Amino acid sequence: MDRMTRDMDLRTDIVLLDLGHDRAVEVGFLHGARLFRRLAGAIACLTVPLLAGCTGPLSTLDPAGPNAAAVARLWWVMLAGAGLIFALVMICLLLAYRRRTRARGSVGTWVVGLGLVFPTTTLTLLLGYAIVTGERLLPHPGQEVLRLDGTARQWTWNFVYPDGGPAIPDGGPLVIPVGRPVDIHVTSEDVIHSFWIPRLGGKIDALPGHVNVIRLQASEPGRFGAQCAEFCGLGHTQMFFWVDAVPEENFRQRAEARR
Amino acid sequence: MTLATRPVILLVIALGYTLWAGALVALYGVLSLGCVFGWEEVMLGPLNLQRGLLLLLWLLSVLVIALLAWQTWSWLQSARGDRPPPLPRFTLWLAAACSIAAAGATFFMGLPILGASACI
Amino acid sequence: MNEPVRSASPVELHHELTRIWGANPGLGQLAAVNHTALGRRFIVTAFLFFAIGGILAMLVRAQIATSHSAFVGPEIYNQVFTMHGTVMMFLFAIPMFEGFAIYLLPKMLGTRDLAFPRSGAYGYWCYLFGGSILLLALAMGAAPDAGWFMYTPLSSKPFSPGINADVWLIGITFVEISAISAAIEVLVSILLIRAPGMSLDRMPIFAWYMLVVAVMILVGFPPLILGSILLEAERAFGWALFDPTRGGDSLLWQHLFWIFGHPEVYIIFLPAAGMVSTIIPVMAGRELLGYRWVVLAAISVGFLSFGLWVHHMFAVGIPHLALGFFSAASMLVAIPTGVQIFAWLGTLMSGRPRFNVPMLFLCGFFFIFVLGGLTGVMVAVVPFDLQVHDTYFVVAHFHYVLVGGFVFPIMAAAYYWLPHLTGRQPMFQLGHAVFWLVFIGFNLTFFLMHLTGLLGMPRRIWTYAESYGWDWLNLLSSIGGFVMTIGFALFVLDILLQARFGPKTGRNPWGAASLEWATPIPPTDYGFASIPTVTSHRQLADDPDLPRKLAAGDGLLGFARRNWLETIAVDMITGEPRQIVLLPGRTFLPLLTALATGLFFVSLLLQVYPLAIAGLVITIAMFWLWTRHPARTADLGRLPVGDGTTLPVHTESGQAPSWWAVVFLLLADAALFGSLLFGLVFLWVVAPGWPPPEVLSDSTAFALIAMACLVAAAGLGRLALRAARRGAVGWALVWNRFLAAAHVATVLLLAAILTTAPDPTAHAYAGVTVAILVYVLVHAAVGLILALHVWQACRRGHVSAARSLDLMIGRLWHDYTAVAGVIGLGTILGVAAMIGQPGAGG
Repeated sequence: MDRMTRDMDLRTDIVLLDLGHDRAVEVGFLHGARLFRRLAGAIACLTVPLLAGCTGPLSTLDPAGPNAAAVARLWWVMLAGAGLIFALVMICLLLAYRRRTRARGSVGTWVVGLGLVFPTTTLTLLLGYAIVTGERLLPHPGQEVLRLDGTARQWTWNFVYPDGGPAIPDGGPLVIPVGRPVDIHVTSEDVIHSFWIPRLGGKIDALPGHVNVIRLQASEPGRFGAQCAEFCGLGHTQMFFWVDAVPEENFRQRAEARR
Repeated sequence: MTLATRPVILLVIALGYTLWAGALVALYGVLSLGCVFGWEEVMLGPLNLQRGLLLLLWLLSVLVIALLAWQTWSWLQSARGDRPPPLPRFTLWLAAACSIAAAGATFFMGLPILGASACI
Repeated sequence: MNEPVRSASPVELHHELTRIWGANPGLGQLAAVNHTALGRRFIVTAFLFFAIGGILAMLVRAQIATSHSAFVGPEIYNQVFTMHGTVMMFLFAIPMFEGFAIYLLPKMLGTRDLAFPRSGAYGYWCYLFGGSILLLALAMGAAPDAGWFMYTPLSSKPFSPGINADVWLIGITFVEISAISAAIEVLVSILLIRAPGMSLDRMPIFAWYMLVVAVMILVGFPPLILGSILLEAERAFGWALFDPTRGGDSLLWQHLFWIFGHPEVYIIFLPAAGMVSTIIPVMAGRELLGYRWVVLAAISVGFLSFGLWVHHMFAVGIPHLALGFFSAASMLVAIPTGVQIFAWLGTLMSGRPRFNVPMLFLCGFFFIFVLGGLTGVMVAVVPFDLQVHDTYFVVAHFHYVLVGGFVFPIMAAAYYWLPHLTGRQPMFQLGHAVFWLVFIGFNLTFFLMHLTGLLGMPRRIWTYAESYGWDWLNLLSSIGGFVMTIGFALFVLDILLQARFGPKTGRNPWGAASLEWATPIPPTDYGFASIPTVTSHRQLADDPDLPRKLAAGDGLLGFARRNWLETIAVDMITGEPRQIVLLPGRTFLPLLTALATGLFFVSLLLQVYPLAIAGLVITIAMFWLWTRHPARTADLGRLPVGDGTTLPVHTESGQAPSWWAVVFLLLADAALFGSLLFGLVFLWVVAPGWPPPEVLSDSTAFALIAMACLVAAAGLGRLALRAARRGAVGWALVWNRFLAAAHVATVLLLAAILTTAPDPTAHAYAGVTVAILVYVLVHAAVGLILALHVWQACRRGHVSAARSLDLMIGRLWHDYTAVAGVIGLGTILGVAAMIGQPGAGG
């Protein structure tokens, strides 16, 4: 109450520091900007070796099939575009602080040109690319396709080739032929799980009461990792299996060995 | 401009986007019903029934919202002359701008109808 | 008698107003309802929850810093990450911006308080009690553990048998009451409680953003509230709603959740964007470039955000074309976001930006949020999302947009408005140390996560094998997390130092033009000693002497009249003064009502249903007590406001703030009802196991009579209102009695239908049908309570030709109930008829 009464005397404004301008922040900012430029250079140099470390049994950046390869390509294109746009914004921000350059505050340039026209154009192109790529990944009917039934439960997978194929033990390793599209019909016995072989393609959820179909194809032989990608309880982390892509000949032999 | 300074102008500002939302729900609904009832198997010339309905619904929505945009734009134009006070121009501008944006959004959102598979 | 007595001096005026508007010291502070006290409370409590959420995050990072870590096992880990998300999204982000909005809006709008002080206080207590339920559960090891979005069937009873999921469903619903009440209050206040002359085009940009956010909350939260109620009914009573073996579908939960969940993140971002739009012009020394375009962008984001929700469900098996719609819409929302970004950059580039701590954090905002927005456009691309969905790439994305888009602006806002809150300046230059620690720590933690996700690390795993190649990435992320934590700890220290020991600040240290800087600093309980008349959108810049004039009582209502708390309501668009609003002062009612509400929710949680009914009855009784405040036995007529003009009191005007509050409450109600109807149609079309074995039958007659009763009630409500407006209170009482009888009849008829309705535990059709019946029944019951209240009001002489607000509000309710009832019952009858036919149905 008394403090307030004192403050009611408004004839003298007490200003000890000019909060508007903080020299320490300015210095720190300029140092930071310089540091940032150096860091950006360092990051650019490190990027190449970093990218070399993109392999791994579950890596989407180390595609082993056409779907994953299409998506990886899409990623690199988007990364380049995003990098350019980010650089544009950061340059604007840095330029704003250069005392000498003063831009014209025109709504037309900034709001309509950069804010409206530029994103709209870019996004229309991206939408087209997205839909076209997405269409190619779909399980369109009328192809020489192998059917696999994958049923998830807490916390493993059951695989059956209904039209003839090797017997797969619960939890894998799953055997698929190289060079042939496989349509996996995915469902669940209990909670929602997700079927995902990153090196071959995207994921599809396993829903109880529904059957979802995903088309995947291996373009080279090898062993790939697969992980349940929808949180399904205590054993979610352990719901991993291996996928072995084997040549067509080998696959047929295993299918017959089952009989 | 009495409309521009009454609370109902807020509803006009919101109308374009509300119609956009309705269009989204309608398109998603027709798509889902079409897959359940097998409308994509019924052929109407080069298109199937489902695709045709979707195209029709999409273009109709864009048209309706574009008409709204045109109407609000002409209200804004008629408020431009003889230095009227800023408030009515502001609310009319918002109404026109939101309607135009909503029409554009509805058009953009429906573009996948031209190429994406409807039931897989 | 109503002529105001002017105070002798500004100091005396200040003492008078403080006595009227303030709360007593000590425990009396619990009865404070003014917006400054409430705003501070929300901010401090939200920050405490942020600290808790942060500690939980550090537990996560500690566990997955290395492969095969044995720090915690999956049981605890699942609770930790679920609570991290839940606490951050529900108990930190929303209440934090609510606190800022509650504190700032009345001051920025040049008025004394928000429209419903008691509602605001009640909302705060609900938030505190609901959050405490969750924290208590965490401390007892019974915290929710099915992920912060609680997908069914994992969160259904068979797979989550413990009380954990119920804690989430009931606790969060309790907290959401606070969000809905705050949204209604903020919306009414922005539209109606402003300084005279503040037309819409002169409104501060932050108010526009909050206007959009408030509407988003009203439309976006009800689907989650409905989903929570339905899931809790499934868990507690065995209703079949999400169980595919009984006609339900797990996707129904996902749709309901994400129809809320996506707007939720924009509800979090937009207030922060509003703060950015407020601070940047001040720091750049020029007006915001493209004010009307920024308003357009905010409105666009608000609406468009409701059309994106399926992008969280790209992997559930929905057809590509449907995904395409949502992919396109998700990209669309980047456009208005871009408009805002470039408006801000344009403002900076054409102004003279200053170097200071708030701007430092805003530069950090640009860096981090733009990166997050760009990865957001990436995940809007369906084929790419199918790879990175549910991986650490998405975790990186949403932390970039949430921390960059919300936390950094909040920290900038904290430094910007701290002189206002505390009246003090910073003591040490810790601000930039805080910034660099948090900025570097954040980027180290989350930038690498993009790569971690692309290398295949899924979300929510408690450990991983060395052979996956994620070790060093996770270790660096965890180190970054610790750096960030140190930064936040330093932030707390800096704030406390400034608040306690900082030197006194001048009136407007940043040189801003918005009206919050025209109040005394630190602010008083009453805000403005007198209310300004606004003639430009830069009032404070045009009239730097304004604070002194207002403190001297030169504005409107510059007096203490009969110990009333008064402010002015204006025309929504033009800002012309329309009414004097009489606000409630300090009271313990909100706290007590929240305790009763807590009793209701906790009893439900513990499944002690008689106690729950008691809690409900007590809550209703307490709300009844609230209505004593503006009730009067005689008309006040028009009262002078201090400049020679007079205005009517709000209780004697048409369309008072409380009337509008009910309009907006009904908007939220309609959103809930719409979600319910959507649920029915969705299950019918999509869920397996339809048509149901048994449909509603032999109820057509009762249903039609109930519909007629509801329509009659609406008509009688209008007759009662018309009678009251004529001054014929006796006739109003008569119509009101018939109205009450009509609602009683409806309740009885619906209860009868419910006794013969199909078993909701047998099939989801029955579950949704019963839900719709209960919905209509509850509305009729509330209508009955309103009629009883009007009865009492008439008998006590609180109703007159001018004082008909109770009947006007009643009319709104009875009209809505009639429409919803006819639609609901009609839908039930129609669906039963269609399914009942052979060969029909899904």
